[in-house]
Amino acid sequence: MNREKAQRRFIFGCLAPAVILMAIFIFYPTINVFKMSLFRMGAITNTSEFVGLSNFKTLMQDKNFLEAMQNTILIIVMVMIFTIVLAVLFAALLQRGKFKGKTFFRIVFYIPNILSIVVIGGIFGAIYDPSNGLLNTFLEAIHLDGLTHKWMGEPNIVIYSVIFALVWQAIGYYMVMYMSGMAAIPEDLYEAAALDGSSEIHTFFSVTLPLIWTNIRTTLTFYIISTINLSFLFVQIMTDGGPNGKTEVFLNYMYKQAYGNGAYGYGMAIGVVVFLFSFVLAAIVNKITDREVYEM
Amino acid sequence: MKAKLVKKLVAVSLVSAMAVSSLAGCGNGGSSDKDADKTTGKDGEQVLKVAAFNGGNGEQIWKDIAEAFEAENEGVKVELDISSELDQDLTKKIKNKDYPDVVYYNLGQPSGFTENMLKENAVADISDVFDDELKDKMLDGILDGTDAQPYGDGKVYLAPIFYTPTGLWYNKNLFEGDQKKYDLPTTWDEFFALGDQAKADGVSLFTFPTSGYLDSTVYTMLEQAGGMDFYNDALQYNADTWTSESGEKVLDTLGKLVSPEYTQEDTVANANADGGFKINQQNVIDGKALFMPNGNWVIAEMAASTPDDFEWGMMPAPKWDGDDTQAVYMFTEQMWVPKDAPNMDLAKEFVKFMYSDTVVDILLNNTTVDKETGKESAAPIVAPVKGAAEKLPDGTTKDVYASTTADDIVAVTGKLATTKPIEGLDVQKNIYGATESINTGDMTVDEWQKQLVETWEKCADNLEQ
Repeated sequence: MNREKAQRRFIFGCLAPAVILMAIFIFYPTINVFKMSLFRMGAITNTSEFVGLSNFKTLMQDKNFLEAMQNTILIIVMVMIFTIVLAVLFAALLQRGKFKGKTFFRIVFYIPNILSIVVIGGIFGAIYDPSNGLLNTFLEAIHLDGLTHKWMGEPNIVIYSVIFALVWQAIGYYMVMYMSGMAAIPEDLYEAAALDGSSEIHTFFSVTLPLIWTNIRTTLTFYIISTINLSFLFVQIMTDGGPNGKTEVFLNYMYKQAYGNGAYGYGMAIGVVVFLFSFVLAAIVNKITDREVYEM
Repeated sequence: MKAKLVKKLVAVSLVSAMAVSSLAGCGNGGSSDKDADKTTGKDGEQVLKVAAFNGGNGEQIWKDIAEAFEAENEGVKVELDISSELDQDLTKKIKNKDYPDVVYYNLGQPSGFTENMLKENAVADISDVFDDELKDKMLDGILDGTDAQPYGDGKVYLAPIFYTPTGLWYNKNLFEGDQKKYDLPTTWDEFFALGDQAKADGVSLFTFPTSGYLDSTVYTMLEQAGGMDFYNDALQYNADTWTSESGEKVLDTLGKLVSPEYTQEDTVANANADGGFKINQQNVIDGKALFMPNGNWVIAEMAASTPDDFEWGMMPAPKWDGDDTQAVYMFTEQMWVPKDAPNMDLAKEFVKFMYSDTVVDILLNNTTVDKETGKESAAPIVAPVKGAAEKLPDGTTKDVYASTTADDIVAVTGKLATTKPIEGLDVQKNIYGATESINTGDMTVDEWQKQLVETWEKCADNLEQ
């Protein structure tokens, strides 16, 4: 009995700091965001007035917010699809492929992930520059002048320019995660597949992919959360939502409303919607990707 | 079982209390001690907290002004808080009820900090600083605009401490002297005709650093199109502003100006990229575009990439046929006192001091160091005091100031009147951001007009006071 008590105390003691920190820095602020979304609040002074759900009512009719929501959803979907496909492909090549310089490529792919967002903004500024940019100059050099664009200015293209930068930055990180999943697949499975005459591509789809499925599912939630956060940082540095709101995303709009426009309570209402949106989306994605887990 | 639960609860509360108290130490602990010596320093000297935005003018100027103020006011110590992120620093401090006495932070910054302080009624009325003697000393009309009286109630809340005429900037060598290629236009018809002529030479008529720079052009066009009363009513969100003949004239002309026909093709792409505004400015220096809206800060801003033989010129936005005068927008930078400033009287003294001969001279002798080249160059700042601009050294800057005093020039000041915070409304985007969509063909002038009418209506309903 005593031993059990002591053990329980020990567990409690170990968990307490984490629980308390979570409560103070995560639960309390989150509850506060929900509370503040019901007020009309100043961004600087502590004035506030209870307005009930009025902020949410305004939000549902706010064209700028709906545009930001549309853009964010497009970014999440595109970044998710492209990053998964490319990251899994590169991971498979680097893990299973037989060629020289694998470590070199692993590092090269991972580098964008450790660069600061400001540096990435600078790099893509130089790539997308309409007159002297790398991309347009290259296209002109290979006589594909027809494909040159104002990558940061054309309303139908600019969002894809941001998406490309986000994918470029994310591939390395997810590639490493998938590689670790692939490394855990026992070699004899591949040998058995080879003995059965399975081609490399067939093996990939029937052995590798099913066995890293749990990995992929976990990363889907990461994509949603990190894309919402990173799209804010990228957009803030690269376009600030321009031209005229064409690249506006959730959090950048929230920031602009809360601080730039001085409608802090309204900003918090946007925060609540983003919170619920990411939660629901993650739940849906989790549900529809539910498969039987293969044991290795 | 019960005893166990009690024990658990006690343990939880003790641990949480410990954690909370230890974390509290990280926050703004000891604020009560700070409060005690907020207004008086050691030896009983009075401390005046001056918070200044660190923009293009550099830090030294504030150190010199603080020193001069201390020299003239015995027993006063000026505590400077100079920061390029002043809005964020002050937001934190003000939330903790730690107020500065005087703040130098402009209207029109992307953070909207000063606008938000006004929206929250947190800026003090400093009308009494401007007694008759000081009013006489200042430029006529400089205190009458909405950038000094943001609520339009006859009371001054924002002190205009620096001013700069703004207009359309161009390469003077293309319009004067040996290399003269074009005639300087004065009417919109001449202006667009020049655009057609330049296009034949492969040069665009117009560019803008970012769409926000079009504000001064819009302000002057409003005055030009409908006169001073129309302009002042427009800043107070008169419902007919954009549907009136004058308003439509402004929108049609501006719509034509920002169309791909006359605006340099890379303008919008550059305007949205990080640091791209400088590329648009460089396009005027490099001869890819003839004109851009700007102020004389552009000379120092672009000094590192301006060829030695290049000469800047500035002209007011063109007038319409039949107009006698042309309008120039006076861009002012503001200083203000928070309503809860601990040293209100001394703060007002400091604001008044900004117009003294001592400060006027300090401002005129200002220099800045270029971050890229390390080269020090003169960057005189002009206080809105009569005669200050005449003391400028000969050169482009002096010419620009002098040109605004001509008989056929009308000086325009002011900003859109302050409203309560309006959820979901982005006034800047609706007015200026729309020009980018017009350029890219995503919006028509009619849609822009409709958007502006709606914006004006919302703002009029939410005017402060």
